[in-house]
Amino acid sequence: MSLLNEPSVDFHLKLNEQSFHIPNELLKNNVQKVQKLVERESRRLCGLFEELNFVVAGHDPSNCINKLNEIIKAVELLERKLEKRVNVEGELLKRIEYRFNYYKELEELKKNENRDGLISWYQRYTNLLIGDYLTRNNKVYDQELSLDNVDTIVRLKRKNTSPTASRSPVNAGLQFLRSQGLEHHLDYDILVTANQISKSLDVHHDLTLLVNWIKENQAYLTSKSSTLEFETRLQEYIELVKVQDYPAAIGCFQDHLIKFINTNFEELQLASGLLVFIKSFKGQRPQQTEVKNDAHNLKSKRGFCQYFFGVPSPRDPDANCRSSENESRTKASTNGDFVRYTRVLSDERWNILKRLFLQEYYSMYGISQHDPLLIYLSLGISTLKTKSCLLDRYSPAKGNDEIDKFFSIELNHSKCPVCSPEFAPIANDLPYAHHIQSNLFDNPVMLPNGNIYDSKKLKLLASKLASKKLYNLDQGQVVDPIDRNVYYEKDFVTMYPT
Amino acid sequence: MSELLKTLGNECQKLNDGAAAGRTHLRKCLEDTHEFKINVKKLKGYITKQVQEEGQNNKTSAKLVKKRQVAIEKLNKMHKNWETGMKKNIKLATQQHSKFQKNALNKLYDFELDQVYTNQFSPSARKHVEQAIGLHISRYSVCDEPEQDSGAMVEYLENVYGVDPLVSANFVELAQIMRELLRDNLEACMAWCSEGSDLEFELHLLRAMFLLRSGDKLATYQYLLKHIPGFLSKTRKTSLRYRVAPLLAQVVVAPPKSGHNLDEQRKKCMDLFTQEYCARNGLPFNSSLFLVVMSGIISFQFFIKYRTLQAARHIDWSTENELPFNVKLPDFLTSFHPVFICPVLKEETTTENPPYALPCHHIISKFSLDKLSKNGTCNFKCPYCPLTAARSKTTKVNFVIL
Ligand SMILES: [Zn+2]
Ligand SMILES: [Zn+2]
Repeated sequence: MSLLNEPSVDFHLKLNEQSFHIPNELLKNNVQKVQKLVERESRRLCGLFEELNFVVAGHDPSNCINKLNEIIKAVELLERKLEKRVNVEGELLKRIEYRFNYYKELEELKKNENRDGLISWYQRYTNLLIGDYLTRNNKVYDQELSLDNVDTIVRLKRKNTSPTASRSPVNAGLQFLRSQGLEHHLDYDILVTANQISKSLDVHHDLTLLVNWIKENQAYLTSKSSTLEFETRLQEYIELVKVQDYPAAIGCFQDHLIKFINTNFEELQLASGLLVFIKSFKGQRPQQTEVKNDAHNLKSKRGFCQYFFGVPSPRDPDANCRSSENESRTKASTNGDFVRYTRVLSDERWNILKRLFLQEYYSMYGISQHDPLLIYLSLGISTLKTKSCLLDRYSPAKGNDEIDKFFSIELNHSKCPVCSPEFAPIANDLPYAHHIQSNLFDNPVMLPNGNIYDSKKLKLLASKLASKKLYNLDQGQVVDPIDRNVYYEKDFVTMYPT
Repeated sequence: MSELLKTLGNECQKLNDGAAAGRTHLRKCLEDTHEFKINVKKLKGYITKQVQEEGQNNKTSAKLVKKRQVAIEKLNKMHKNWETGMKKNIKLATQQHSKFQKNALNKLYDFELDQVYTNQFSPSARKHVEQAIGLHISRYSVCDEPEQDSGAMVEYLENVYGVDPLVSANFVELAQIMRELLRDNLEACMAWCSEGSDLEFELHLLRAMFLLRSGDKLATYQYLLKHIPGFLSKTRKTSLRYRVAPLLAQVVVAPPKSGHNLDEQRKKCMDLFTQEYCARNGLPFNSSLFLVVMSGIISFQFFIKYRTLQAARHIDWSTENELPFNVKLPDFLTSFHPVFICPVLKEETTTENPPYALPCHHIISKFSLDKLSKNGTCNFKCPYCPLTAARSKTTKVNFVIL
């Protein structure tokens, strides 16, 4: 049996397969880049050599030397580029080494039954999960700060007078990992990129980063028949329609969307319909008062209606369809279009796009879709959650701070992580642990009020209370920390819980 | 040794030593390119020299042209060799990573983390998780942050990690005193600790060790003499006496040792201080996040095992109110709440089904009591001893862990 009933090293390795898988993927990627680089530069060199061989036969030797200089330059350039790639490789190999050593350390600790060492190993493990969570969910990033909010940078810089703050703030997760010396243990670059692209989508509604990423990973996406490229280009088109840049919208449609005509015909029909729909309503409606040209107004149903129809928003479209069997067909179909078009124009699409991107991105690297920290927390809470958790049946504070604090430290249930203010609100919906054995304490005695304690600890508690002068107690008296009343040791009833 | 770890270690080594010990195939590519460059440069030097000589002699002999052609031919050969070498090494590098995949990674791959995430949190849970992270960082990592000043520390944590200042403020003093301890500065901690505490004693020993390290045996002796007897008599903790003896022995005979003992003693002081600090301020010693993650790690294998079993049988347990398996946790994760399994029903007692004490001091659950007493209509025999009991003579009880 292991020291903390913790899993074996083998299981740990399986649990963290990702931390070896990802660097190997990056290594493969690096070699591919070298291959492309060398292929390109080799071709160039071959050309240069042909030229050299041609001029060497001639009688002007300076041509020959010029060619040699060109060759040297080309080889030097290749050497520099290769060096960069070799450094990348070295960095990735170092990651693998750090991680391997981390598990080797676990093996040593287990072998030596070093309990404190194990606890501190698991502390680092916890910090890694926190670093992962913070990196994935980072709320600010360089680009955001440098683009929109110079004020924020200035403020942050003034506040952080430390050496690290001279650079613009990095991803909070990376900052945390660095402060713990754990940055080699997480492939933070992968997560930082995911965070940047997803934030640019749902915060800035900007497709630039995503489009670049799709271009770089076209082959992978095609091999999976992913819909990401289609959805991205559709979004680009929709945004252009929203700001009424019709020529650009049509250009986008022709350049990027038309190739999906066989796979996504219905959506394309809807997309082209959107243009006709908006244009025709615009043509019908002469320039009117109010804020008609505000594209943001389209986000709300009301704004949309006013914009396109010049009328207040209709009743709930579903109810409308059901109750209006007899109404004219044209009206019903206009309503149906309306529902479909609002869905297309809704900001919710950005969120859907973000999730689709993350799904493709994470699965490309074999990273879990959910934040690992959340997975561990969900399992951990259930494993800890007893039937006594989250019950507010213990007496509330009595108003004496010192006594309250004293009892809250002495009563173990106040330290339960599931009952803590942080986790109690999210522990409610999770299942309880399953127990097959009682877990009580030695020397159980019952007080007249029905509370059962470890008699030795209850007496110890009484002596602490007396020595801290929190209670005036006679010999043989104890205090029940729940009801805070004084009882006599002679009233203890020894219990026999089986 | 763990089999997987061994395999992984061997395969990692192979990654590093692709072309030769400590040289990967890519590094070999780089080295070959470098060598190729040097050779081209050498050849250029040779030809340049030749051209200069030609210039001096002011004639172009067929012999020299021939020489030049031979040299360039040699260079062409080197180019071809370099090119084949590069291709070969890139191919080998690619194979290396496929081999690592096959020999190491495929053996590690067994399941996906996502598979066990059956009970998913709602998006609104994130703010609570982030609160827990804030508490965790405040408790363990304030020391590691670049800020020194207390106000700046709190601000830093708020700006970078979004930690509630009310939470981090609780740990500022802890961080400051810890930093002082790390710098061999004991005053702050000495002033903080309560008189006669274990912490005070250990700090005295640490101070004596500092003196001993500085080589001043007399000062060490005087320091111990001045503080320890007074401490022992004040607190009557005579059992601590044996801890002083080795130090005194060092004063008398052994030369000052390496810093090993000293570091250990410092760590002891820091641990004790953290414990006392948390207790005095009503703060949890372990962060709730750490404890929950720890039980998550321990239970993970059970979830995986169960998940695999259930997947084969197409059963889902996400709607269950209780986990379908038992996980044995270490003591420090199970001492929060008592668990009482009713010996008759073999079920854990709850608020609906609380434990009741019989007059014989045996304990059963309410449901068992109702059943045995036929809802209180008759007396019954205790299932564990020969005594009979009436429901009116039973007491509802409540276990409390101190
Ligand atoms: Zn609890
Ligand atoms: Zn009995």
